[in-house]
Amino acid sequence: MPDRGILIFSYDGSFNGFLSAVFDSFSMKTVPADIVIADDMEPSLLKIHYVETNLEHARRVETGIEKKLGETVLRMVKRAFLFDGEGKENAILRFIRKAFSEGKTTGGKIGDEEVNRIYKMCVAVNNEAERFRQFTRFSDSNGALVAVIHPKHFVLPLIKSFFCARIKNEHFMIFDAEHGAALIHTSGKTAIIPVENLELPETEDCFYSDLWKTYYRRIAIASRYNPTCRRSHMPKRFWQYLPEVQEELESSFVPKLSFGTSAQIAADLRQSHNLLKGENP
Amino acid sequence: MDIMQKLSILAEAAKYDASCSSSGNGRTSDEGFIGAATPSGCCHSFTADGRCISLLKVLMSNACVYDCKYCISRRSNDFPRATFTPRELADLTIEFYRRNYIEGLFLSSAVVGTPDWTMERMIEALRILREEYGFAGYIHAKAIPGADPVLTQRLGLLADRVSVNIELPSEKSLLSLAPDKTKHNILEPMGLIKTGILENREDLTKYRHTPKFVPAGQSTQMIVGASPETDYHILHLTEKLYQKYGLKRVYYSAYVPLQEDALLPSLDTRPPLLREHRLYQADWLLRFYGFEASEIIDPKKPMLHPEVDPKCSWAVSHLDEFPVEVNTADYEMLLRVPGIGVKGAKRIIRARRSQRLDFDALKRLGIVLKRAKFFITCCGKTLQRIPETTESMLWAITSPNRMGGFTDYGMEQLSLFQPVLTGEDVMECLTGEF
Ligand code: SF4
Repeated sequence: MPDRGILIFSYDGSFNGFLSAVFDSFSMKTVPADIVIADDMEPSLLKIHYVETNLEHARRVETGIEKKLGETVLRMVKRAFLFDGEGKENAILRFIRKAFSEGKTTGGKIGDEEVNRIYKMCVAVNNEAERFRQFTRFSDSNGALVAVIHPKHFVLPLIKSFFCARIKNEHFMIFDAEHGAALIHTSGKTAIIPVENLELPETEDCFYSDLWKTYYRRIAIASRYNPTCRRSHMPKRFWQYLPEVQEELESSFVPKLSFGTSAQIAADLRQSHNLLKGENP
Repeated sequence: MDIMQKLSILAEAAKYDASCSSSGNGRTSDEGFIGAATPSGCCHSFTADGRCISLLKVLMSNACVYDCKYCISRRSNDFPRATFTPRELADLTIEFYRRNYIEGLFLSSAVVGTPDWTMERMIEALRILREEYGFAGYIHAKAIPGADPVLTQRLGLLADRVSVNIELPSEKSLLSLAPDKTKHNILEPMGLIKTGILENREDLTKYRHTPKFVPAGQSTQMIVGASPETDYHILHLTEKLYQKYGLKRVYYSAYVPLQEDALLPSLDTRPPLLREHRLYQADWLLRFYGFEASEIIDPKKPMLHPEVDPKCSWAVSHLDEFPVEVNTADYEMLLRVPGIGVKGAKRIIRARRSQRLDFDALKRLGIVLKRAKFFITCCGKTLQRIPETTESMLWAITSPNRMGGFTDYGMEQLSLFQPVLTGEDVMECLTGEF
């Protein structure tokens, strides 16, 4: 019984599974010490309640939140669930329970510690999504566009509409290797599906990525060189996706930014073009 | 000449237009086959100097017939020349866009032959993009001063944003440094675009299928540090441009000396980056913080304070208006507190509806108290003893920065005054929180 010993919940990791856990928490009148995904669970002596994913329960919790607590709270719950980090389920459960006891305005109490935790999780998820809108890069593989990403949080649902609006007439796939899922868009239809160990074909899409690298190198202004500023906007962990900084990632590379005056730039341009043509400078 | 060579020459020639530009207009993808411009814009990369790359920024051509002294593409300069065909440019834009390298195109050009001929080529490139490829992404085009008004009109129907560069902050400087351009040539298309936008807005309410004219508005840019104008002059000019021409943005570009000329700063002059940064901060105050140019700068001290940002500088000379109580101050006043930006002020307003805020709550809201603490109270309490005179306040808020000498504008300062990017309308790009 709920009041004896430390109780933890285990669920299947899905959003519906989590909502079922919320349902169980209310119906059992207990707050578990933790909610964990069954697959990640280590053997322990704690008492475990295995939550059964029940769509009916999940739907009741969802409509309950929407009706009683409003859209903002529901949106925060959904957004925070995309967060990837320990203790997220428990934090969301506490937030939901707090909201049920304190009412609709709970979502706005971002000065409150428990609410702030959810708020921060939402911000982290949103920021991560924005980074992947910025730094996802496709390569063309026989006309289809392919990208592989390793986001900290599960951002595919959040970046979906951005890419579908941009390139709606293309066939494209974004593979989240971290969470084993892919966003696939083909013939105007889009889906996020679980994918394990995807073998991607080697693409030879270097014509435009080489042009892009040239462009990137050419637009840097030597006299304004500021690597710290660049890194703060474009942290190193995203560089693996970006063709334009691949060479810099290899530690021996020193960015060539030495040119300064108009005459030097002109000489540099001429030289690099002679090199391209295979002539001696 | 192959496309790689053209791209390197024409990107190189376009880069000294140092504004970071990103899109600022919502266009849905229903309007075409490829592309959608989001209102907030998106930086897809950052240059080695930390500027946001959102648009493919190139010149159509750098084979200029004009001879502006500060410009790398000027006729008398010995520089490799190249010209894109409209098709090449359109293909490059689409292919970069598909791969998520860019949000759109920023097209400018040197004057090839005549202003009209140049504009026609630019228009053709945009026409291919919009009409043949159905591109609905963001396009910013520069109108060429001196071109036929009909062409400016056509350009405006294809682009999201059009800009006409003021180039230099005064007519006198224009005359001496850009002898082929005139104030009239620049202001005429600017006025034309303004009227066009107003008429279009009216038509849009009357007829549903009116094509949009410059839907993202117009902007301009001026070079700072090539000519002797003061910040006082520049900020008042900026204010006038916003008021008179309804501009969306005024860009400042720190002059990077590339050529020797008796009329220009010498080649070893460093680009006045800190000054450019301060001007952008002051510009934010004009556009989003409800300040007027005359509040920000005083004719007796016509340059912005190098050590503190313009908002701080205003606050320390108006200590009688502080401290403000965060639980009751109105939005406008919160915005005037150093350290509280637009985002911060909005968060405070939102949070205080449901609870009284103390300093811990402010911290949780992400408000940086380093400076703000000298200007606010929470429930009547201060966090620290508040200095009473302008001098002691100035000392208190800048003390952590007092390690190095701050006598001139130099690169060393930039590690301390980490320049916020010169981004366009992009909150993420420009934090705007100061
Ligand atoms: S018109 Fe003047 S500023 Fe423009 S490209 Fe020609 S020389 Fe340069």
